[in-house]
Amino acid sequence: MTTIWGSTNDSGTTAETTSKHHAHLMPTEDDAEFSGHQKDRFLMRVIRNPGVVGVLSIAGIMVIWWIVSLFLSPIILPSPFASAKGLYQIAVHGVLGPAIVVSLREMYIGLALGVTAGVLIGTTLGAFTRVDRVMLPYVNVLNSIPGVILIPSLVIWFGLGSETRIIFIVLITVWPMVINTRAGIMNSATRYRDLSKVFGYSRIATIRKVLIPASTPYLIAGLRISMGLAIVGMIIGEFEVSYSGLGYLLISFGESLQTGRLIGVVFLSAMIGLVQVGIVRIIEARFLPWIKRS
Amino acid sequence: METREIAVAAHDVTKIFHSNELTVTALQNVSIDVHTGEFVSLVGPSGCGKTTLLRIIGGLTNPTRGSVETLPLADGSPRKMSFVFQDVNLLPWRSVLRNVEFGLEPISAISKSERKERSMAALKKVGLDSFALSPPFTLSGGMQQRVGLARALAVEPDVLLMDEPFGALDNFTREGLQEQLAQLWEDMGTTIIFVTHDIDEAIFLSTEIVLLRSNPGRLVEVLPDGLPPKRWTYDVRSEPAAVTLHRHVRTSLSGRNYDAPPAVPTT
Repeated sequence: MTTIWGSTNDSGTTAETTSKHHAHLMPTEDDAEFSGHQKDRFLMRVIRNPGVVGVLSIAGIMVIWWIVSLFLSPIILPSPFASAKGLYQIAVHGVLGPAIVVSLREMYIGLALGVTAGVLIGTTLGAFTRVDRVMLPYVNVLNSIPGVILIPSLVIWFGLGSETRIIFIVLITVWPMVINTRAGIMNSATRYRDLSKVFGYSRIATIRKVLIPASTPYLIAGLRISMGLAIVGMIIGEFEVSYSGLGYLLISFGESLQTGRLIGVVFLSAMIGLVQVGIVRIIEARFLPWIKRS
Repeated sequence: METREIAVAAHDVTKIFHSNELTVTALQNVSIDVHTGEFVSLVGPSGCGKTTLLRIIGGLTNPTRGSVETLPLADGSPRKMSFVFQDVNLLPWRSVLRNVEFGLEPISAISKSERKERSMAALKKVGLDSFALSPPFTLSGGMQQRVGLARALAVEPDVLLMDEPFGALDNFTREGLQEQLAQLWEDMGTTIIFVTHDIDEAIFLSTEIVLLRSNPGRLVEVLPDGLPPKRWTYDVRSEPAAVTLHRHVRTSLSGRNYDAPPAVPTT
């Protein structure tokens, strides 16, 4: 059989619109008399650049912090420089490095287990209505329990080691994944029911090849929540049950009124949060093209 | 012509939908025979049950009463069916080629390389082989519908079911796709059952037009479409036979007899 349908792209307007867009941004000779106006526009563009905005706002906060610290005792609020120095000191003395390693190890093990378990449980609930009908009330109850109230019981059952903190992180990161995965699977199941039926897909093949990939946007939304909770879980776990890690440093610097070091560690923990956001962005970028367009 | 082979037979199919206290009879005692190699269109207003009938034939819905029989081929093997959806249903995370392969994946007898080969061949048939690696969302609506058709063709169906595949497209794209489908059908000789509410589309494509009316959904009549083949080569819509057929279908569906137009005043 020969090709009878012309191989044409009937949506070929992209190139044109892009070039128009560029032409609009580039100043041309016709615009010369409006050079004042152009300057304003340039300023506006610089001001609206998210990178510039970010740097400016951080610098602004630092300046305000520094000014406020001039009027307060260093025990209440040390200056940004004192905090940076505190962080530097504990890094040099070999306190910070091991604490970060301990904390991150526990956090990522807990997060990985929590996310995996959450996806498995959520998929089961979403794909099997009968299981869902029985299990959903329990899921709702467990999800609404604030994780912290479990800590004393966890200590009794699992002791004061890092297992307890990992289990704690698993317990608080699992539920957002369960709820989101379940919603994603149920949605996709309705959307693609006919498709998998027409082509004779089994239940398991449908889950693997259609429902889970189709739920990616929901999984990423859940992951974003769980990653945030994982940091909270890590710090709280180390507050309550620990002799190491960043949470332990926070508690001990707080109790000994080493405010400079304390704030340094607070900043560092916030940076870990930023890294998490970056990780989600990378994962999202991998799937983003079709998520955004469909 | 007397001993035409039946591919699909619907016997007294009734479908009743219950929603809350409302009962809708989507189809009432509909019987049709679809013969091998025919292009049969199910035509009627919304609510006449044409899509429901197609879904019952395709095994996506069960009839309340009655049955649909898909007869085996002459050699005793089952007749393969495939479906083209109105809203295409492409998987956005898969490339065009991988979407076409989707239908072949559950068939374990087909190797990976054979699957790819057959999918590329199907894409070639619809003229989209050069877009094999593109993500579906970069394609226009008409092109996406062609990918959906390629996916259905890749399984080499004996009966192809199409549910208003061109319903969401603009007029120009639609007419282009109609010509291409007509050509494809003449080349392959596949039996096609095609749902549409567009009378012109049905006349252009079909060898047989099944008219359905709503409330309750029921069969009105089955009309042969006697227009000559190779319909993409001539202006079907202005053929006197097509005009007559169009008028007949409209009268039959509306149950209305039109007056002669009033005389144009002269002076």
